[in-house]
Amino acid sequence: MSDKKLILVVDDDIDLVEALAMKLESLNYAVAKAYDGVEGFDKIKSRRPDLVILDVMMPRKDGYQLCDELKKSDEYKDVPVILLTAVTDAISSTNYTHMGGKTTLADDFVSKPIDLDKLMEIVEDNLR
Amino acid sequence: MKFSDEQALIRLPEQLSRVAAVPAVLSALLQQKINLSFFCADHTGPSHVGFCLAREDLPRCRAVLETMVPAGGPQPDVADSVGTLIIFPHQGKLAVLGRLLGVFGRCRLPLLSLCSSLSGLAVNTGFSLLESAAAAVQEGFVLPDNHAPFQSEPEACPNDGSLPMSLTTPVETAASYWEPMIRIYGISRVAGLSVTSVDFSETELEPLGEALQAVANGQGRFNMAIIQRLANRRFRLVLFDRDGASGSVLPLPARTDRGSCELLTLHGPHFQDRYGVAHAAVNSLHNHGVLVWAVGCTGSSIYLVVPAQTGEMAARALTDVFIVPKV
Repeated sequence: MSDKKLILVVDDDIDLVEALAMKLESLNYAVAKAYDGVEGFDKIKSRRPDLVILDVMMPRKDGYQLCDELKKSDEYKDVPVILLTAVTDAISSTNYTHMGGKTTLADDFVSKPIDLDKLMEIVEDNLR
Repeated sequence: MKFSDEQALIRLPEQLSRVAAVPAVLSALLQQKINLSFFCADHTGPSHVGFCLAREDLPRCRAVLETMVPAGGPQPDVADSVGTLIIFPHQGKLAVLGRLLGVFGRCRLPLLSLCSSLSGLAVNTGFSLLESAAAAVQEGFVLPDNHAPFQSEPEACPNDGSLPMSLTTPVETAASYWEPMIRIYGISRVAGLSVTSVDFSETELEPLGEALQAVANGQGRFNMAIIQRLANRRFRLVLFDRDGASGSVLPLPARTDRGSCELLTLHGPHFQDRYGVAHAAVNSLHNHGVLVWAVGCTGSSIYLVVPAQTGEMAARALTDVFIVPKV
């Protein structure tokens, strides 16, 4: 088993997942990939990640749902979750109410189009 | 595996496919705000250019192209019910590409065109055939447990006469990404690539796929792959890779030019959902006098192949139209 920190990237933009994985691997992280919320939860259950980067809009199970499931479970509530979202003007904190009355307990968020360097800083901060 | 919505596929006639003509075509489509969800151009030999767009944009696209082709001359070839099947991740493995081609050949599925992105292999086929293509692919590949092909699902209207939730609840959409200057995650450049091209017929698709799977004992790699339909039910596969290894083992006459080109790749948010991306990339190189040998825009990737020694100039030209993060 590798002693690298494991980061799970969940996004239905397959090229973004690949680009993020390449960037994270270049910074010596191990990366797992999933392409929707259902597959993401499967990956989490099969191997607990140290951090999850999670897109909001995804098929089958969106990022809010997956984030809430994680944060409300005793087993995974401590895993940091960073949301990737296109709607940041509705966000005032990382424990916010989103349009449509949805709430999420994500640890941080990054607006799309993402700034890769900013995202990497946030990843590092949340792994400390 | 991922499916597109129903689209139209246009293959440009020879006079609009020329490397000097493509920028004007893209400019005209940009003025009409027509999004190209798939764009593929090959100028390594006789030029071939094809692209996909939403079916509702087809009349406006036809109108644009009619003004650009001489009356009585060759017209654009239009397939008006096309679906894109994307399999991922390909990891740059010729074995994955070969197996996909083998599946299409063995099952006699029409292959209209193909282009690789960073993660995916996007194949255009008949829209009504997407389900059977997916079933065939699932016999050729091991998919993860609990995998479901992504596709747009029609939303049912509530029985009480109210509007569907998507019309009453604001959601994140591709429109949120619009910005006057397109932001990308960075530009990467690979020099010293070889280009291999091979023409084949529909019946040769399966043996070609098998040969690709066997390259370097199954370890062969590619950086970019394009397939486009030629006349007379023939096709051209163009592969860009490090060593041109595939050229010598294919069962068909192939042409390989070693170390002749450079590849630039760009990625940005939801490029497939916004118009003007292919235009920005191609026209910036054209305006700076950089020759383009091949273009592939699919998924959220842009792949540009330019002659050796021009990659650096091309990268500089791209920074005029894309916001590139400082390294």
